[in-house]
Amino acid sequence: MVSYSVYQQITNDPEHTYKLMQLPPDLLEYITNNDKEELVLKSSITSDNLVVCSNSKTWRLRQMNHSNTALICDNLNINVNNKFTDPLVETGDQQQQFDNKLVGFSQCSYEYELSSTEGIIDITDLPRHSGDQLSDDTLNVDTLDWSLQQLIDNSPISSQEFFTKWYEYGGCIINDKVHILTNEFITEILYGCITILISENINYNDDIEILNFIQLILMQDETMNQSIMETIIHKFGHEIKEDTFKLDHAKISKWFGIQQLAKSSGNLINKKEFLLHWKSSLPSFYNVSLDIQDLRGNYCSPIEDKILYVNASDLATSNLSVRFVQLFQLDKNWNYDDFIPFIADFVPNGKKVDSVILKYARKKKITKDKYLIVPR
Amino acid sequence: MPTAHIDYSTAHKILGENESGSGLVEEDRFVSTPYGLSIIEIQGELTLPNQVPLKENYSEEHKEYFQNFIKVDDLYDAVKFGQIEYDVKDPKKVTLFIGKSQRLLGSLVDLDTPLAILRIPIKKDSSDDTNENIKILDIIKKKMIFKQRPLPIM
Repeated sequence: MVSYSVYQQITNDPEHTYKLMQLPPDLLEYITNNDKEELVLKSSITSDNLVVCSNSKTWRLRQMNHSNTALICDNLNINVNNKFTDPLVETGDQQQQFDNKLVGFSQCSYEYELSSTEGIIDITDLPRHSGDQLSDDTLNVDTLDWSLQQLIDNSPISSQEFFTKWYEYGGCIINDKVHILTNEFITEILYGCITILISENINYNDDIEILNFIQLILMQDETMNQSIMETIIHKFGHEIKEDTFKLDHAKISKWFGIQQLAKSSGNLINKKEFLLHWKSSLPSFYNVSLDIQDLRGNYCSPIEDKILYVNASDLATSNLSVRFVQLFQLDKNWNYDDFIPFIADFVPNGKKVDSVILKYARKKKITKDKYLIVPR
Repeated sequence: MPTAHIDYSTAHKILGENESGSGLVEEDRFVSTPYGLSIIEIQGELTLPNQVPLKENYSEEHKEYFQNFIKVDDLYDAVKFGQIEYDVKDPKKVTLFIGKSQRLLGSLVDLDTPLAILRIPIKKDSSDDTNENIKILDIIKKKMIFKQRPLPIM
């Protein structure tokens, strides 16, 4: 029989606190395979999120309280930290000195449970840049005057995910401070960039050298800066190699389409008429295929051959039931494929989109391959 | 603290080591990790004395009570609240004797999700700019858990 005397400290280390954190398999793998890469605990000052981030993944921490007593003990036979013990008073008992000892040095009433999550950048209070002047003209007292590092530190998101999202939001640096490009300005920049490429006889379908491209644009447009151009390249291009990229024409045409659609806000527009407007909003001689179906998730079609702009960010995000009600207020008979993009992001992992639809609505078969989504 | 770095160098080392070849004697290997840490979980609360008895009050009569108290690293007071016993042939069954009248039957269980023990520096005030990182001290893969009600010692 092996025996250990179990002790618990009644005075604690005043300089440290000890917590238990679950290590999910992907984090365990990260710690096994790396020793220098980043691992940080982050919180956001604008929300209650507490997360652990590797360089590419984010896990949300949830405090799981329990009513048990969990003691973290140090086995003094192993004693990596060279702890030593003395009796409080010398009683002449040799046995006490040579006992196997487990000394508890902390009690935990909870564990942190980690679950993989998508990191967040809160851009609500960041200043917007519309390109009027390349200065802090948009800065006002209500916006955050942060450097990029401050924003990274205050965003509960891993660094790789941060930059993917940052470019997607149109984030850029103006006078060392973070700004978000307005949609109108992004459209203007894209229009300008493609026009310059065409006028310089550069094939916009080819791989483009990043440095040359940025220099070319900066020379011709003084409202640009390096950071804005990097954002445009990452938002609307794919990096082929370290120094070259290729424009994503599907994404660009979709961007112009959504901006054109947004201009008609609140009004039904004829599909053919819209296609003409969309085409004319693109730079001259920029030939890309246009298909209204590419804009799914941004419109509904309550009347045959007509579409209505839907700003998905205006719909409820926390309550799916309310979101369905809002969508049915726009159209009572949704084309199945037009409807899916509005709810796809809210389908829980492992669930099928149809099971979510059946919970809040009905799926009606029209022809062999055509379905409608209608209210219950 | 919007961002705090976590030092996981020890954890990386632990995960890279061959567990069976950790060089520990068999008895220790069952109750603690190669880095010497373990978790004991008991249902309910553990009520311990708040402070150690005054040395001046020591007498032969109170010897046994005084023997329960030790000083760790000359800094912290600790009290013995029990004795853990297990058989090396069946280390999954652990018994915790509390005092002379109670025993708890428990088990050594593998954790579904390993636990990291984090050591977090306490900042005394906002101007405290000590650069000590949060550190993962150890990774615990099993713990001793005592779920049952205490049984009398016959």
